[in-house]
Amino acid sequence: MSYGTGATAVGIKGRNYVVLAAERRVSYGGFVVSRSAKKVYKITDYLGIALAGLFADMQAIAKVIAAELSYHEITVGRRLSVKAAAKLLATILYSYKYFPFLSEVLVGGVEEDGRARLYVMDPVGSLIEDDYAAIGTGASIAIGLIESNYNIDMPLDKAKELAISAVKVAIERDVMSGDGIDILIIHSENGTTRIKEESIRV
Amino acid sequence: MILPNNINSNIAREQVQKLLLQKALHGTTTVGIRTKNFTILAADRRATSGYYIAHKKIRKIVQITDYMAMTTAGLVADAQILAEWLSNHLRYKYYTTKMKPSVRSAAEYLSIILHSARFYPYIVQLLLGGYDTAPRLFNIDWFGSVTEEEYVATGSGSPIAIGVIEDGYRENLTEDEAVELAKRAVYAATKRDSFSGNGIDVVVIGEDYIKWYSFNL
Repeated sequence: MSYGTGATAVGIKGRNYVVLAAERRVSYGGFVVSRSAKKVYKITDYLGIALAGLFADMQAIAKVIAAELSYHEITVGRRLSVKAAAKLLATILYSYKYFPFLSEVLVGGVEEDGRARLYVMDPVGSLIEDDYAAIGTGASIAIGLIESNYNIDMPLDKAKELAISAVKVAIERDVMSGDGIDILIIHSENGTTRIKEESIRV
Repeated sequence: MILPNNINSNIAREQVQKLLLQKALHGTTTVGIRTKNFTILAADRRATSGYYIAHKKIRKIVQITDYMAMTTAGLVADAQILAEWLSNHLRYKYYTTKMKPSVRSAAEYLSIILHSARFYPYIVQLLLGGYDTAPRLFNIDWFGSVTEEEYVATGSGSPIAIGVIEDGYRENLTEDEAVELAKRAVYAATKRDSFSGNGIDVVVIGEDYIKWYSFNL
């Protein structure tokens, strides 16, 4: 379903990592307003989100969830788990049910025990945990590639390649997607979690 | 010609046509440039259906005779039929009169066909370019109006393309400069129009030659 400015974003989970990727186009109808829009955000050093839909709402959601996580850490003194953060965002989205944010969301991160998590949300906050997901106007094109190549034990570099290829394929066949790919990798190894942002041209 | 006798259904039909027109004519960029010595036509290579890219290598410029070519925008089926009709009609005229039909006569012929389908139009926007006694460029819309132009752009990417041409057009451009201008115009449109992309075709028609170029993106 198109909410105005289009997008394609994908998320792929492994045993101890999550890869989020999205393209960079913002298009008003046919006119490309920006070729360098950010749709993948690092929220904390163990959690990131990728979004697809109306660009203004995507930015608003990213700001809201970053603020909520900081607030919780400061007041409670403990960091919020990925599962809880995703649920929190879902309840916030649902509270706007009659005037919704026009954006689908992917929340990906690694818990304190090293377990990777990926959640996908619709614009009104339905929460589903999954191993891989694609959202946006190019989702149906991207998911085909992931569906046929995914396996839970795949190594991180293969998952990253798959995520990039999935967004690339959506760019090839969806007019609302294009102009480059942003990637976020959250990876836990030997007890330390690392988060890495990357950008590639297409 | 049959006149419609039910006004209401006519109005409803025209509204449906309007919707169809906007959807079909949208996805493309085509460009025409005429200088003192040659005419250039250029077009992108993307075919879309809604937001889906249905074809990445479609050819939007059709050769009509050895001195005339046409860019097609809109419904592919309508454009293909008209191009074939025109090309066969011109060959027939040449065989029976021993004279090469002028580009304007070809444009007027299309105009008659298009206008006679006024209430159920062919959904096309055509640029007819060629060289008879001088370089020619005609813009033909879906109701059959014909206008001669020095430069023109059609399709969803046309506002972007026309900006580039307005800035760079001169009547005495060399062939290389003109090809570069047409290419830049379509290229800019492919960057900023989602419905245009995947490559650029260019054709140059001069006094005794017709040259084709293709650029990948």
